[in-house]
Amino acid sequence: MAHLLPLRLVSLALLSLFLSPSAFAADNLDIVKRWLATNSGIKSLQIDFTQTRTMRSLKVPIRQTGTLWLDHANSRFRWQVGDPPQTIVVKPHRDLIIIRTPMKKYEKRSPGTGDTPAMAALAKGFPRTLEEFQRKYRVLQVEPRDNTHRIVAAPLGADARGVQTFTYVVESRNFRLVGIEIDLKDGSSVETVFNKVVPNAPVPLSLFQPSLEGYRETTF
Amino acid sequence: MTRIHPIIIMAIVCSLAAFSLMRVKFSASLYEMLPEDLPEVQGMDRLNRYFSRDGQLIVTVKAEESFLAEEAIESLADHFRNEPELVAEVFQELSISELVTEGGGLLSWLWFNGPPDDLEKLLSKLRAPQSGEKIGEAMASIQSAFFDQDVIVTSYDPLGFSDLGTLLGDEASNPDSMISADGTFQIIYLEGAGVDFSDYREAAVWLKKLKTSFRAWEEEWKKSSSDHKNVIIGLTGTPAFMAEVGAEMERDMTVSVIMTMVLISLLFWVMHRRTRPLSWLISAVLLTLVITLTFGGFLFGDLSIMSAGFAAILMGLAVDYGIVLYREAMDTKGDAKALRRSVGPGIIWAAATTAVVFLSLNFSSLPGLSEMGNLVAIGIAVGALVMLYLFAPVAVEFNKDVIKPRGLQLEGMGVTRRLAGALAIIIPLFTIGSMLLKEMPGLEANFHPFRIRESPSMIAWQTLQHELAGRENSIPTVITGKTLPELNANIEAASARIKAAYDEELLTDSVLPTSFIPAPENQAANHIAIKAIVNEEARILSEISAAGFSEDGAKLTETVFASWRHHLEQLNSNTFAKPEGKLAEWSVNRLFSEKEGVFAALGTVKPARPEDRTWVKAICDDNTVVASLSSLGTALNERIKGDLVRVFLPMMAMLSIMLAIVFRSWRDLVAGLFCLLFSGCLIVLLTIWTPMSWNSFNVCGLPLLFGTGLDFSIHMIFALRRNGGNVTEARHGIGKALVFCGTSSAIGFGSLATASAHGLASLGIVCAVGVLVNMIVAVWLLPRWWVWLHAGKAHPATT
Repeated sequence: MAHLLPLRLVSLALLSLFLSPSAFAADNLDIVKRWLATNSGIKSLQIDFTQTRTMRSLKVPIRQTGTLWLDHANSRFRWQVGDPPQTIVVKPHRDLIIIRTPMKKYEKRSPGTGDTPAMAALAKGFPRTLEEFQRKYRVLQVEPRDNTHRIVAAPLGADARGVQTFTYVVESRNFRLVGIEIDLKDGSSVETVFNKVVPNAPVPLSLFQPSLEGYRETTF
Repeated sequence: MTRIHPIIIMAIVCSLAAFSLMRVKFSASLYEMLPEDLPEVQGMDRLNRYFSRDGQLIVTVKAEESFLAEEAIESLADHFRNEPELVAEVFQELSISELVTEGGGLLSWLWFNGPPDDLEKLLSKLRAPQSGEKIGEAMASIQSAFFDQDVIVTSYDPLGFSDLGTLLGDEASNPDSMISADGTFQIIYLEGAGVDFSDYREAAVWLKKLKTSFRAWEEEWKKSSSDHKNVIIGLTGTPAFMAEVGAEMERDMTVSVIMTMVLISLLFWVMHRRTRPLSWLISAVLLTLVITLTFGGFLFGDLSIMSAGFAAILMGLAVDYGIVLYREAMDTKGDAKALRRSVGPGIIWAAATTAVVFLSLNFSSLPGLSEMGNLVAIGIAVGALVMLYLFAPVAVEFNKDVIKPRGLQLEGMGVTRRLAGALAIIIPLFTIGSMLLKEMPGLEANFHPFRIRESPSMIAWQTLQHELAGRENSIPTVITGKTLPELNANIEAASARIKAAYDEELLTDSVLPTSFIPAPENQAANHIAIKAIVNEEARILSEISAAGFSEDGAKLTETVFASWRHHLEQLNSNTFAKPEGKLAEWSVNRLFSEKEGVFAALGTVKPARPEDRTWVKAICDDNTVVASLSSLGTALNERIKGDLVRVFLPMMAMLSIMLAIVFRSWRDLVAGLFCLLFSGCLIVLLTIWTPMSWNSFNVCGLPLLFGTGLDFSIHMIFALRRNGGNVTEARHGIGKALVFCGTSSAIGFGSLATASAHGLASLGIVCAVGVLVNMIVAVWLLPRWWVWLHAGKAHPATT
């Protein structure tokens, strides 16, 4: 194998001549555009997901399943994990309401207090146009792996705090989003795999206005 | 005397002058030239004395995107960490993992130093069995909660040491962030090494080396990616300010001296067309400067930024005496003794009156201006003696066989005869009209005049204040006390006044560092409870581990317990425990200081209307002062207006009486005073209709202008009296001398126009323009008015 190494290096050097930065960037953006195109015309989404949190501060990763409803038309979302739900986060209007069902407690939080981009990315919905995507992210690389394209992006602006990279995983055949990986600067990571995605799912108002009867307001 | 070639003499004196200029040391602290009884000036002084770190440079990075700013700041921090000879330490915003390792020291101290009731709330969570429950709750929350900042913090701090609750009070709302909200602006602090930073020259050398190293990095870094090209990097902080101010002052003095010397030489050449006497004259002027600088250094030590301009003013004035001697030597044809006898008294009296005018600046509230006045006054006395005893023999020698040239003619060409009367009415009326219809002359209400213009470090500092949350319009507030209990009592009193100022809507925000001030009584009260809980560390750590937290997850708890142990040990030998660890020391030292037997605390306030001094009067006392530049501008204007009334008006009255005694003629008195009024009108018109304006610095030039105006009119009126009202003869004689003196003084003042300090430059321009106006009025208009006033009357000289 050792004697093949110089030959490989020469091939790589030749290949790099054809892959100019602009050509590479255009190719990357093409995949991003095709992924974003799959979102066009979608007014709402229901996503069943499995989330794995690998944190430096914990001995073992935490895995949980949950569902996310996104109502693009009214800028609302509901996120819940566990079955029955252990934690529900809804954003009916401007404020965020976090409900912990086992504790029978909830907290109302104004935007921008304590929420990190990791979840804010989901909560705010995914970018739907290239302009919106480029306003929020800078593509670092697009890597093909198995049957997917992994769009590795650095978040821009305030969303970048504490986050190293966002990786949007899209299927190679139809460019639909199948998962998100978030690498934090402290070495922790959050991997969210989409088990089922229902475009234009019904999103009744009651979904975003859960009953808080019997719950006590607190600060978590 | 002429056996030695004048060029050699000039070279020696030039070298001496250059050596003296190089030896002059300036004080780079602007507040030292301001009235020290103002709370704003005391604030700047105490901020500098107790909280400024001479060697701490701030590097600012502004990029289009946050990741670019972060890349730049990380790369810069790494670069300077590898320069141990230049940088002792680099401080940057800590990552979460660094906060975990470093933050424990600060958290443990804040709890240890806080009220016992607050500590008890924490300890109740650490005791069994509550600790197990709390850790379990933390794990449940990490597992099921929305993944946000709280989850990350909880995973490192399951027992909630960082949940300080009400312990932090106001301070919690105003974190000392090093990153802007959008992340595109970031800063790092560099602690300089290797030099004495209290010396601005050493600071400048250090900064130069650092900039060389920085530029090498910048070149490499910008080459590495096209994205890096638009990143803007600035340097600010004490060493940058000191180096900049010091270097600019040295430059100001050198440039103004050289410029004055060259322009005066040109003027001499135009009027006399001779180089050898010029060489001697320049040598005499430079010798005057050398002697004055030596005296000045001995008497005043470091000179302030205002004094940077004294050398040029002095040269412009001292050369006049040489010119008078030189012209008189043409007429008298006697020896030096005879020359001194004929011109000496006049020069001595002129020097004395000019020196008195400059000494009157001691009545000003600005110590910097007083210093400049004293230096010029000393210089004028030295200059008069140098010219009389060293230049007079030279002037005689050069004029032995010289036929007096007719030279430049100063004719009014009939214009002044026709217009002098009309102008005497039109100009005052036009001035009154302009004041009423356009604007009344007033002082600029800002601190601008006392600052260096186009200062890169000031621009970087202002950007920093603007970009970092909570810093804009925040005014540093320093509270002091001779003992810790006194400091705490003073903070409490200041807090009550600040609250009252809030109620009156004078302030919009304030932060007092209450929890960062050592509280020995709290520490003594917490001592026993902390001692009990540290014995339970092993149990608590095993509970954390059992719940599924890794070693990283337990690190903060371990640090807190280790610090508590250290605080307990400290109490065995000290009255209070100090925080330990880099972050803790950094945070506390920025807000609390113990120096020179004084305890000081640093807070901030945000006034609703910074320029309005009501808020300063409401919250300040002897122990609470604010470093507010906005209100300082207003304060200085108030003070200078007071000075004008207190100093200028009595001075005018005294000089008017003196004029009356000197002239013993009401017509001459009216002519002299009208001359001053007319010149004043012209200067006011210039400030109304041109960009020239008054500020708290250049308005102090008014007594100087008044003095020169008076001087010029006295000379002209006496000449007219001597020759029985012959205008042409008066212009040809004293007129020429006044033109030379006025122009040379204007050159001296005008050379300050390029000064780095706004105020000094504006003082130079106003004085140069004012002196020229005085000269033109005295030479071309005053003779006509005098003749008109004495029309149909026998002239005093002839009676």
